[in-house]
Amino acid sequence: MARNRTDLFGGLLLLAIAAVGFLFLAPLPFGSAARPDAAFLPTIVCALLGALGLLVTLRGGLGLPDAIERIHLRPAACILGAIAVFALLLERAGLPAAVAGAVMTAAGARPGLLDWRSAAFAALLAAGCTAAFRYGLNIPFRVLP
Amino acid sequence: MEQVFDGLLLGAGVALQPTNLLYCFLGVLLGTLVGVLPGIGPVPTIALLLPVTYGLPPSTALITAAGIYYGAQYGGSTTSILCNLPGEASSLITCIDGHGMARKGEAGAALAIAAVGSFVAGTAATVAIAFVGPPLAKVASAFSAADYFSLILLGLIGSVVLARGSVVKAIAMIVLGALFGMVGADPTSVQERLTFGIPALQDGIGFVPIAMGLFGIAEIMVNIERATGRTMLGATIGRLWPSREHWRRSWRAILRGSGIGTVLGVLPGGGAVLASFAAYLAEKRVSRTPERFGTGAVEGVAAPESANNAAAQSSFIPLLTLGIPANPVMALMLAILLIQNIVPGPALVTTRPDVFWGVIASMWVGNLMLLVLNLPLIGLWVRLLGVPYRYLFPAILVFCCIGAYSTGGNVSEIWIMLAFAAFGYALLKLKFEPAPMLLGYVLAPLMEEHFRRALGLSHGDFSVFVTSPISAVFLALCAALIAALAWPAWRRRRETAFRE
Repeated sequence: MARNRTDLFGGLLLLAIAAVGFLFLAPLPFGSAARPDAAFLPTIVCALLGALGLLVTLRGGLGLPDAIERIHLRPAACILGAIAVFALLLERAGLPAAVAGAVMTAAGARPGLLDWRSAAFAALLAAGCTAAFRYGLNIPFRVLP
Repeated sequence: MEQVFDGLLLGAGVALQPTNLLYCFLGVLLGTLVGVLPGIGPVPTIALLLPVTYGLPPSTALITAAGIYYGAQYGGSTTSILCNLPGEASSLITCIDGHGMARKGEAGAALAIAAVGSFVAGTAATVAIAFVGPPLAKVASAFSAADYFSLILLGLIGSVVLARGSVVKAIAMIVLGALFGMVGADPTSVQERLTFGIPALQDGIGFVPIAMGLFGIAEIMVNIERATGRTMLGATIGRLWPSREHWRRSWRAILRGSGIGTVLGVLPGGGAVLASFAAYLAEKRVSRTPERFGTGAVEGVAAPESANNAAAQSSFIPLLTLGIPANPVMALMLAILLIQNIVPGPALVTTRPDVFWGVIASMWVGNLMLLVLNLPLIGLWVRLLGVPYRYLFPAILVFCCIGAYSTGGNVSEIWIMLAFAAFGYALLKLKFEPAPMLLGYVLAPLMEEHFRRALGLSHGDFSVFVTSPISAVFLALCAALIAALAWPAWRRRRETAFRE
């Protein structure tokens, strides 16, 4: 059984990315050394990545023991969720709603943060961002749903 | 000599224009602010402002971004000294003796020495760029496509030597970054590569979503997990003006730090973080009383703070003269120039002397502003630290989203940022250092262009990379670096150096 889990999983991740790369580059023209085409260098890069992935995976089997630091699901989900909420609301409900939604979703990252203070901050930030980015810098954001 | 003088005069003309003065001021102010605040650094800040630079003239855009970078080096020291909390990674080492001085009631003196040291270092680095830049550009203008390819390869391998952690993993990150850099339409045949049918990827993965995802958001995710609530130390700042004894001890450290920083900033993968560590270690080594280090030795503040500022500025040398960014911040500067249709490289100093010299002159002006600005405003910066992280992180998150959206005017940029945030978080958990990836990502298109051109000119003959003497030298250096990295004794030394 592998001893160094960071290296083992890290290596496997690299191998997987290289495999996906190969798969999607295969239909593209490779060209020749004199006329390298679209897939020429990316394929070489994928091969290199695969080799390095293999090396890291092997090291994972032989290296010093190392466990993966604990993944805290709640903060990770809330932060990524906040970005998703922003992306979903921005063109449908406008910038202020997207900002407020993102702030409130992010507040779930730590226990005890979902309170009136976060709500007040969300409102304040929504107003500030709309003033600064929509009207100050003239970035064409939708303001109302 | 005369050329340098004329150039600086021209640069001063550009830097002293009221608009540029204003933007330089805003840049250093914002830089100090993000330097003071932990959890947000110059990379996401400059990335966020990228869309704003579209409408600015190129020299103004670069002057603002440069101000943010070296301003952050100043700001980082304030929190290191007062709160034992580095605002920037490059001020990490300043905590040791800076906070030591604060505990002895000498916080004011430490802050003043850090500011003066930074100013001296900034001046030294400005002079170095002015003198080294133009001759280097002249040499580089003789480079062929093969030479450039080998130089970029050398830069990438060099950055591995200086990256922390596992060498193999650092190389893997560069290669992975290069692969990300090749996503999008092929530059010659316009054939789509690795876009998975997603329209937003046709022009490649945008720099802003990748940088913000990896450095802005992933960082927040890790910070929230580890945060234990910031504790403000009620340290009194004390007398601001250092004593004669402080000056006597620190002036040599400032000069040595400036020198080390200027040299290390030029190296690929180098920059402010590496320079500050190297300067601290060097100072400890030459000191006759190394045991004082760690207890509040003023040299332990003067050397790293001078070095990080010098390096922040000298890392502009490879960008402005060769067109090759030495670190992620410089990669952003490259992006700013490319947006303005300016390709930095050996020709920049002759085709756009206003940009080249304007930026150099503005650095000195900016450093002067920082000196004048920072000491009186220390109280304000400290109060800013009282802003709880619970308000800071949602704000940073929202700014990143807005920044990603406004670069492409498209929601898909936000989704790409989200993907890279998740990926960056996984990389951090798997102990991969994401910084080399960004360098590989930025340099891959340049590298591919030179690679294909060199092979085209040689009709597919790979020996072109070794028959050109300049390219051969670069490749030999690459081989030497790889051999050194694989050499067990050297590897141990590198590991010890990072542990120290």
